[in-house]
Amino acid sequence: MKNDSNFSIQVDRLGKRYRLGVIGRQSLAEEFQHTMKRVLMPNVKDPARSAVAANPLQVGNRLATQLDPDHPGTFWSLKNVSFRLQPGELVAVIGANGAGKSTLLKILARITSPTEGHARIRGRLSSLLEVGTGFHPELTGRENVYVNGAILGMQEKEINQKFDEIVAFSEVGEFIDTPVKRYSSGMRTRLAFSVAAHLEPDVLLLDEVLSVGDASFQQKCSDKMNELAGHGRTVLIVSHRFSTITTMCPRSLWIHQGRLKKDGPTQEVLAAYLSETTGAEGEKIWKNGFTPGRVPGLTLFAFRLLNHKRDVIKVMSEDQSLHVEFDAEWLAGTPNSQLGIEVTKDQADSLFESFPGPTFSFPSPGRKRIFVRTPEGCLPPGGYLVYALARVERNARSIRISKALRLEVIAVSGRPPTRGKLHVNATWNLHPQESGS
Amino acid sequence: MTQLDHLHNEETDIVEISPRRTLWRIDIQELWQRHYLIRLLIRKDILASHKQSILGPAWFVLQPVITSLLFVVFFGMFAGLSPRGVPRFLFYLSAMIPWTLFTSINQGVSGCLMANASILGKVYFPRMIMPVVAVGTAGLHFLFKYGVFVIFYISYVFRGTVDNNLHLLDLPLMILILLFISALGLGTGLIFASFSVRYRDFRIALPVLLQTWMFATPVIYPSTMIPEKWKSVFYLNPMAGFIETHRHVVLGTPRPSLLYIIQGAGITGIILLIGLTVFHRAQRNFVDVL
Repeated sequence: MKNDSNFSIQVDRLGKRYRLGVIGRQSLAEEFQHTMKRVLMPNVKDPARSAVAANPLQVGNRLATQLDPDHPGTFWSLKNVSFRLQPGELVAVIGANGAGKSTLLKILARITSPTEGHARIRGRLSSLLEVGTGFHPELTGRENVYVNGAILGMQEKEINQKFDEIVAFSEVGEFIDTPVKRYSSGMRTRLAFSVAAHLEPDVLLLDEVLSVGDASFQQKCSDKMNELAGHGRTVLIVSHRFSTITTMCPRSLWIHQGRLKKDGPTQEVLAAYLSETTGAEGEKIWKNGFTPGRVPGLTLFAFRLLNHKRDVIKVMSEDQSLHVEFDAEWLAGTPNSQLGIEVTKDQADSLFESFPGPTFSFPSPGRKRIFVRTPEGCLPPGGYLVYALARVERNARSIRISKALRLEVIAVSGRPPTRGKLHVNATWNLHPQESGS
Repeated sequence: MTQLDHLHNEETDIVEISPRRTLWRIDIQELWQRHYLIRLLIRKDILASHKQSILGPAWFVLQPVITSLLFVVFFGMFAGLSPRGVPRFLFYLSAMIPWTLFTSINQGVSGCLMANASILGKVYFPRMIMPVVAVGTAGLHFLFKYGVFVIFYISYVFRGTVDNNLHLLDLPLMILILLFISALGLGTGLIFASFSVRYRDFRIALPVLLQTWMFATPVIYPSTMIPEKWKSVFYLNPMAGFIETHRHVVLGTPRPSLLYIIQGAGITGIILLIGLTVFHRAQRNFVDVL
């Protein structure tokens, strides 16, 4: 009973139906024409209703699951979503574009109403949806802080108390008395976040805010959110920045085509999400073999990323080691040709390459499988590309012989973010002779 | 963490979000809690209307005065519509001032959703605040204009061109009339605001409609010009009774039958109820339609 009443957000079978295509006829004349058409030519389809058939691209992947058979021309942007957040939780909402994440936040922020189901929110709610939330462009930053605070239901006195802190956090400085329309989008977002976070909301809803601003401000934002959560506030955040989500939010909700597909620890939810959605596959297979032109005598049949259980993967957590498998064949007479791997951070910086050491002997002619394993936990959270390399002999320059495989490394929750592009497990010792003196 | 404790103890802090469609509901308490916001927005509106203008608030005086002067020349002197025995200028001004109360509330409320679409689309607050702010802004402007009217009136009384026929008893009646005019402006404005969200026609039609309405109301002519058999139709327009009553109180022109005034008040009440209902419906999802 006690536990039952201790919620911050409770969402129960929430659903929202939108009209497809033409959203509302804009003038009475159009409405009239539409009605006349329906009366006079019942066989001609209404553009709004036939939008699905006419323009499947616009509707995209909503076609199958989100259309409402009982109400033609409509689709469910959100359907049957239920979850419950406790005070002090930091929860991320992830999902593809148009999956319904923003609709969920809009309903919770009471900007639009649901079609079915209901939600309950305990306490004062503050939301930051899209950039520049709720600022009046003609008013100065100062005036907007007061208006925004008042919109949240605060009195003048409360806002006065928080004002200096808000300005300091937002880093807008002397621009506080300039109309907001002259702010850069970064300044606007910083001020908006600062207002939303400092006005002591019990529930904070954030939509894609972390994608704006520089790295140091993002760090400040996540610190602030952690602080809020530490004080029993609840934060629900929509973001595509997986590195931020994984370090900040222990729990995630995955919204897929309007439905809650997975709710659980961020690591699991994100892994499931990424393995389903990242387009690139975790392996490359050449059925008839592929012989890189510049490395004679070597034919590649497969190149794949694996976990320790030998499953093909696209996602791993930062404490695991990366396994790479080659399926290759050497022709007789080319014993010096070597295979290797290269890992790059996103598209740009190469992090390291690895070739077998001198003690490793490449197999005698014939088709073989070769495994490579990196040390545990050397890749910090983020996106990586893994290339297959080859060289004709030990001292030759290596070349990339295939397209890269994409790898997403996700954070282990609770681990603080670290500096540097790689984790290195160095060995630390106390010198025994000097320890006593 | 006193705030948090208070949160968990108070069940009233829970916000329910559901698709339930109540016919209409105004949460007076919720509005009252935001009185600081309302004051802030009214101040913002008033300041904004004077920004980047040379004459500033003087426009609120010049507008009805110039219109009244034009009426004096065209409708009074050329068309001979104003009655004898009453200064023409005061005859027109005494109708223009309450008429502009009606139109400014109507226009402010009609445009309140569209004008604030950017804020309404991103943060929640009781939507009814916007019409309340529009009424407040128009009301404050009206008080200013009314002060000017009183100055003109007193100057006419001192010069002896107008008898001071104000009775103390008339004062509550006058306040009541002004309140009804505001209510009518709010009611019609809410209806327009709700429909103009979906249909642009309403935004275009509004000025024309208001102009037509003015000609149907005894602003530029006295109601005595209306043939007796048309009176009952004429007074279906609540503004007719209200304006004539206001004129009667300050200038001593014939007062419309009390029955017509009561009828006008009743119609106003019905329009306000309709307005609140359609606005309540429109505000829930207008963000989706924009």
